[in-house]
Amino acid sequence: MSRRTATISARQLMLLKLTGITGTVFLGAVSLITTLAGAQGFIAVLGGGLLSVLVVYMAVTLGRRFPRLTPFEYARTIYGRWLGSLLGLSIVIFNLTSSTLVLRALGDFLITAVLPDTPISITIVTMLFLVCIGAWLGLEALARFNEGFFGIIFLAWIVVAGAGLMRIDTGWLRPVFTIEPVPMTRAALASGSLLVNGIVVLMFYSFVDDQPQVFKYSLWAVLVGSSLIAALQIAVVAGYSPALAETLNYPILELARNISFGIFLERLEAVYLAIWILGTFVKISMLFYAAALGLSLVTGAKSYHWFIPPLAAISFYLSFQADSVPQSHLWEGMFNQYAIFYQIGVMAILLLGAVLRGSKAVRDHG
Amino acid sequence: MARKANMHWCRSLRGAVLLAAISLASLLSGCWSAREIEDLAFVMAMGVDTDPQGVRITYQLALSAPGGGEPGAGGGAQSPVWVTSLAAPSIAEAMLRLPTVLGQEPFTGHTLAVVVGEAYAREGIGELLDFLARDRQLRDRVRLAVAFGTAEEVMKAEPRIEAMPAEYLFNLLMQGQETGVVPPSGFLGVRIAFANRPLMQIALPALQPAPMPVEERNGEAAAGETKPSEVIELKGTAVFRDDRLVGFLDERESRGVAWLKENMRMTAVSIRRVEGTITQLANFSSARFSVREVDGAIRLHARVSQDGNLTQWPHYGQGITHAFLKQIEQDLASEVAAEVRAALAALQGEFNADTIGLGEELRRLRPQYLGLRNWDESFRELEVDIEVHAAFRRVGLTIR
Repeated sequence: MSRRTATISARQLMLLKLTGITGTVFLGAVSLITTLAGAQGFIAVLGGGLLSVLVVYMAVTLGRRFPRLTPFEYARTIYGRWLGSLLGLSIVIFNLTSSTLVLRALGDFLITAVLPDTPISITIVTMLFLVCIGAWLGLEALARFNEGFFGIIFLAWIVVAGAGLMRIDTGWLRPVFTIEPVPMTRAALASGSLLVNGIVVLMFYSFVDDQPQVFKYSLWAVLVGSSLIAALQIAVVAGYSPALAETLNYPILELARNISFGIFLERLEAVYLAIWILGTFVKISMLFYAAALGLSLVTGAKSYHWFIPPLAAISFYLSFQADSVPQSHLWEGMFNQYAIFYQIGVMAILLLGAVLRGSKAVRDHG
Repeated sequence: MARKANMHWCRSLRGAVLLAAISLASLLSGCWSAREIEDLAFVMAMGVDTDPQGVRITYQLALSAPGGGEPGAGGGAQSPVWVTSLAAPSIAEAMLRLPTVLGQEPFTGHTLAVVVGEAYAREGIGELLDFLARDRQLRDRVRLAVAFGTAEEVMKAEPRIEAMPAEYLFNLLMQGQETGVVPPSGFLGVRIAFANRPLMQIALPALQPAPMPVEERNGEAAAGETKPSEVIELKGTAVFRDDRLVGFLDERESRGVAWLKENMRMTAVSIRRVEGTITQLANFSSARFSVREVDGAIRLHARVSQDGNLTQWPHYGQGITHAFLKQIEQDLASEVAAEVRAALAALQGEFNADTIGLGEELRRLRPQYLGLRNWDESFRELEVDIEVHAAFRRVGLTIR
């Protein structure tokens, strides 16, 4: 079904994954990792990178078994109509929760740091409106849009990370390897969850025309994403000291605010933020698209388009459930710490089912 | 088939272009938060003092046209800033009340300096630091300083060298930092020190408006009238323990700290000899720390290296030889070591405030040592060995 409507290349999938990873880094990711692992956060990020390689491997292995089907479809093939649909719905709920948390985090960020007088409802509605258009236009349009802007998005990250790294005092990172295993594991799980980025590979594998390249490109995405987050983590912790970094709500914004070129080109953070918000838009749109597509496949509807407005309405409602920014941060932090269990879990269930059912599924649907 | 694929490609491209147009257009909007520049009052500097109400903030506000008139309407010689004060129970409240005085919204994005009065600093600057860190407009490059007396006096100073007094203050603090007579005053450094106390403590530049001669009117001094100062003098370092001012280091002691913190860029070190004064313009300094254990006790070893140019030579008849330079380098090293020891004596003996960050150095070198100790108590007892290597690298355009 999916192959009939859209095709993207493995390279486009890699860029979508990378944009998804970087699309939320400036919100709460670095702050969360710093709170959990302090100065050793960069090691946790590398651990999270390894974890996400495992998830990518599982996703690609699954995808290879069902090259023309989305997980919503092969879940039903493996586990039957009801159990499979339940599994598909859980992925829809996961995507919706994930996108709602990002949406709220973006709203909190904008009202705190950039647009203090603009009601949060306006920023969320505006973003939702754009997301609806993005999801409506579909994966191909999103992939092309992302391809066009990725260069500038990534350049903005390189500039901020590079300028941040130029000012660090490496002494703040010493002594290395002194963190207890429990906080390190929690930080690795959180960064792994960010790097997996809403199981993009699992979701969109069947849309890729050069599928043999997916694993290689996804590994590149994980490598580049891990390196970037680790670099930002080091720039924050060794530039601000672990004690101060832990108190910062938006450490990446602080990094961006302190970058200037000479004494005449200053206050460029608005430019960086505008660019990064494009990445956030792509990420939320992807999640929305996947959720709407999942619903259409589970319910057997002809088009996914008509699921987008109700999903947007639910997301709008859910994004106002947190009473305050600290509560919103708490929920986002909890989600990021535990999401990886769901992501690995759902893939393990699907993979296990596929293995137990043997190659029949491949013959039937491959 | 190919035609169908081509149409498909075009359709997805059209979608991407449409997305780009809509999303970029939405980024251009300022929504409710858009501000017209003429509605903003640019706060160039702030002075914070104690007040019976709580706190008194003196604002130095940039005027769009000096004298308040239209640009070019004869306001040229007048001050480009307006200085006004406001008392309130808290700093945040003073800031919120400011629009009721100005009729404009204060904008702190261009603020260059925040000066704290001595009395306010002794009561604690924690509230101020919290306010500044929370403010989304203020930048980390803003400079902080402590005024002997009140900050209001500093805000009212009218320097002749620079049109904008806040800019003068900013540049003065930058220059002072390079010579080591005052510590770095950037807000980021203050935040880092405050977050890592007691292993690091806050040190801020101390300054004072130079007294102006009493103005005479018809040959008689006008009683009680003072003219705004035209010069602000740097007076060493204000030393804090936690957020409270506990005392001051003089310029020599401040430079002693600067040698250990590698803050120096350009400073003059003089050696007084019978035949005259030899002066070195030091333009490089570094400090390396190591820990030594002597009889079970920890000793911190600081190796300070510095070098620079010989700029004053009183031995007019004697040529400058390598051997003689080596001899006076010993005197130079002794002078630098004396400055460092004077600073340590004041910080450990008098104030018990680790503004150098020796605790942080120890944490990096021997984390297990600090884990067992309360640094507030052990800083006083820390033994620090000082080793100085000083060198003259260049001697100017003459050899004699």
